[in-house]
Amino acid sequence: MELNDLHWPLAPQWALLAGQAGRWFILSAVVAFALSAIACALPKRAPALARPGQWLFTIGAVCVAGAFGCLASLFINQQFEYDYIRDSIQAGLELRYRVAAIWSHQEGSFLLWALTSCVFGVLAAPRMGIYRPAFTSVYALFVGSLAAILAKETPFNLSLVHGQALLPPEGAGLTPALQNYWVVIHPPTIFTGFGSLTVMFCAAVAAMVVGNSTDWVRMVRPWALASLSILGLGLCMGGFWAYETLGWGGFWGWDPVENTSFVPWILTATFAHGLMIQAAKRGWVRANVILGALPFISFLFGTYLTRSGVYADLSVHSFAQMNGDALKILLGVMSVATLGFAALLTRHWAGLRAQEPPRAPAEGLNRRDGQTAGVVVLCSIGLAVAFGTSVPLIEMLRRLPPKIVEEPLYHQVLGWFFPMLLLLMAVVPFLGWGGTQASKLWPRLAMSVSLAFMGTGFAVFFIRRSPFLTGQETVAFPFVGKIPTLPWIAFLLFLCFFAMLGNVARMFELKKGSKLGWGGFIAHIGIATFMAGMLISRGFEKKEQFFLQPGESVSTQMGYTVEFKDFTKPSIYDRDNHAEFVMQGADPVNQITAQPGLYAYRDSDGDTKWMTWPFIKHYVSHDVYFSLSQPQLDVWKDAVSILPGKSYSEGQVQVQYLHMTMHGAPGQAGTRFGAVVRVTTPTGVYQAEPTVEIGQGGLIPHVAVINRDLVISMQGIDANDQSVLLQVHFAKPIYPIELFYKPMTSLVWLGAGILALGVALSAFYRRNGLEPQTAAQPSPKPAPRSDDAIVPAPQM
Amino acid sequence: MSIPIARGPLITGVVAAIGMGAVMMAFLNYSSPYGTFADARRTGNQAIHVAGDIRKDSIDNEPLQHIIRFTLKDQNGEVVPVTYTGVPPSDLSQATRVVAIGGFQNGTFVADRMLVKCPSKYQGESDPGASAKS
Repeated sequence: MELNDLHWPLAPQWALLAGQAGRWFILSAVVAFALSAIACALPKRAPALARPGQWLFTIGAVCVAGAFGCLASLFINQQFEYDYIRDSIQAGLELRYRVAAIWSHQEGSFLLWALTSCVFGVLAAPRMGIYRPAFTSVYALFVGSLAAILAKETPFNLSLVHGQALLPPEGAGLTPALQNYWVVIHPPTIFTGFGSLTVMFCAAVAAMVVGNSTDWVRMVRPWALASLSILGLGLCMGGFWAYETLGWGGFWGWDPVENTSFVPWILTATFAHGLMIQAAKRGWVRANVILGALPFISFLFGTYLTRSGVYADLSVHSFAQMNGDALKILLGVMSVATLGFAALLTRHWAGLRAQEPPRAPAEGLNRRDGQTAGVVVLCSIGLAVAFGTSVPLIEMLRRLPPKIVEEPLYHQVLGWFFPMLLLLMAVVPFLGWGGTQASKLWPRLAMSVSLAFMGTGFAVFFIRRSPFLTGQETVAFPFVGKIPTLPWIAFLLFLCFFAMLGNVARMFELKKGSKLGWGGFIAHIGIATFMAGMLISRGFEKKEQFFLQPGESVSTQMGYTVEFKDFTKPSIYDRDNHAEFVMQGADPVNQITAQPGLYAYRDSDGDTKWMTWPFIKHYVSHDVYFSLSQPQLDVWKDAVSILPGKSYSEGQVQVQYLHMTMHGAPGQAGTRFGAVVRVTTPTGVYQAEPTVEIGQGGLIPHVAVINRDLVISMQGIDANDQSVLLQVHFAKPIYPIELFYKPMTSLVWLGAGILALGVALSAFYRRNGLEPQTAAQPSPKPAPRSDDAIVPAPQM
Repeated sequence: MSIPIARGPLITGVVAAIGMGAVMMAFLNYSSPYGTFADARRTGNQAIHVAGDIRKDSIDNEPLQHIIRFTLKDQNGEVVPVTYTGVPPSDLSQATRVVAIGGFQNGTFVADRMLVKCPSKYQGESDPGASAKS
């Protein structure tokens, strides 16, 4: 291979072809999806075009997969001649992280979104029966737009040096915070969930366009449940990732990026519940069409909000701002989706209304009203979070100074909804669609209520025994002020227990039916368990902060004596290194060896950086969460040049440079130059003499001890004016530590697991709804599923 | 609880609208404001977010006292010394923009939280020589 003046080889021919193929795949996808959208939009005028339109859709999807494959091959083979790859990974990165780095930046994450959307499109379209042409047309329009964004903001940009494509030996590197197994599995999961939202939106549009908003329920329901399950799993993974690795002691911070995933999830849950009403009572035709579209629209809105730069100055996160043209395409997609849907809804409103059957009278408390209330509460939570996320944008549009909604305010406001949600989850499953007399309902609920009271009593008893509870804790609410924490959490815990036990009781009532039908009840139990865990864990969390040097120990407010023992590896640059602390509680049995992760690395500038991750000791009753921050090494942040006789002061340490010394002959290796300095600290005045030695490879600094806590180094010397470069350091690095006591966090993960299981069970139970509907005519009255007829309360 | 058909959705809609109105009011009235040092002085708010450019040569870390002092230039161009107490944020010396969260106490802006924004070292630094995008 030819070598140039940079001594970089020419990029291999196959890699240039792969990049070109990737670009062509993207452009071909744009064309194929555009043609598919047109062909499938004209089935009435040109029925012969419907089939080619479907094929074109599949071709477009294959092109997107091809582009993804090209990018993957370039990543796996470390082809740094491409900007995107050079910015994302470094040479020698493990294979799994090279693959994960595909979605570490914006272009790759959009490609992953396009790919997952295409997979769902290809799977769902053939099962959409009479809706297929309209469904495919809208779907193709959307994925075609994603492909257009990728054509504009391509990951296949090649850097040319003097007109040649050269292969640099190294890339900027994947940030160590992302070199974690979660980055391999979390983004693909959550993006699969995002991709699934498109199915619901396109099905809702197709239902309106076709003029049949009844039969679509059976077809879209399994996809809604699958979406709920996958997105929920992705959200839980994200929370667990944050808890395990980020070290801020929480799993959810109501960050705009988190909200962008949460809002579509809860709106999908809303839709799934709305579909139950339509499946059972054939009402809710208009509402379900709207609810089907909302998750997708909310996700587009959230994506736009976090990529548009609105949050650029308002958050700790560096939200990647999109290329201007690509952002315009995204704005166009969002506007077309929202306004187009609103226009179609207005146009078809009368037709949809005509499909609403007259409501059958119900006696007493009935399932439909209860479920309606549940849908309203779920939808309100979604819209409330969406509004909270939009506050900076709203303030900007009002030309007011920006504001941001922080985590505590989300808790305070959403706290209004939790009692209603839990109460509905506990009671509504007992209600029949035809109505249930209150006098007959109470005996069925009595057992759950009694046990819930008992459970709450036990919980309060144990919470009050906590050594960290002062009894003075309060929780604040907007418009209300502060109320004592314990009674409020006791009330919510009672509702959580009631919801859990109520659903368990309902499962026993229906034990003769299919166990697969228990999915909805299990999901409710999971939600209630999750919320109980959140309430106790966040409500009674204790946190303290202290600083420690190696070999030292400190007594903490939580009653531990924490001693900094040592490191587990000889080199601080070892990625498997941990710091070791022994935490001794008042009880001799209560001893924990905490080993938070800590290692140093050099960034692309050669600067030393630190990577830390927390140590978590999981108990059934609580977690002890030990978070270590990067060490404080230097009192003076940089070396400072000082002339003889002059002084410099920083961080309460003043150094006066008195004069220079020399030990040895000038210019010879081994000769040492020293600087005699007088150091004034809060504890006294000291004299020291840091030196530099002439070595074979340059100057070798030797630090001098100032006192027990401080040392001083000399890092350079200027022979002209005899100035020296000096820096003051700590004799031992100081490590900031945060210690958390988090009660009952185990319930959070247990609840998330139960919820995921319940929703997955529901999706599996409803899988038969995937059967294709081939009837040319819309059926005004679909046959109810047998379980809907038998069981008065059909599950999710 | 047998509600006439027409009234049911109406009542639901009214309750939901009132609820959402309350949510909006709560979020707008109780959200955390961003502002300038002048706003912090005028309102006396102790949790105001002031975003600005940090003067790197002004950073004075006193780890033994767990205090970091620096000066911050807000969007009005006002330069004010800030005192931060707590766990030192990583990469402060690399920071270009900082959001200091706190308020004025005895004439000094005291921050108990700090958001640090660093230039992304992972973007575009390794462009080889005089590169041209193909």
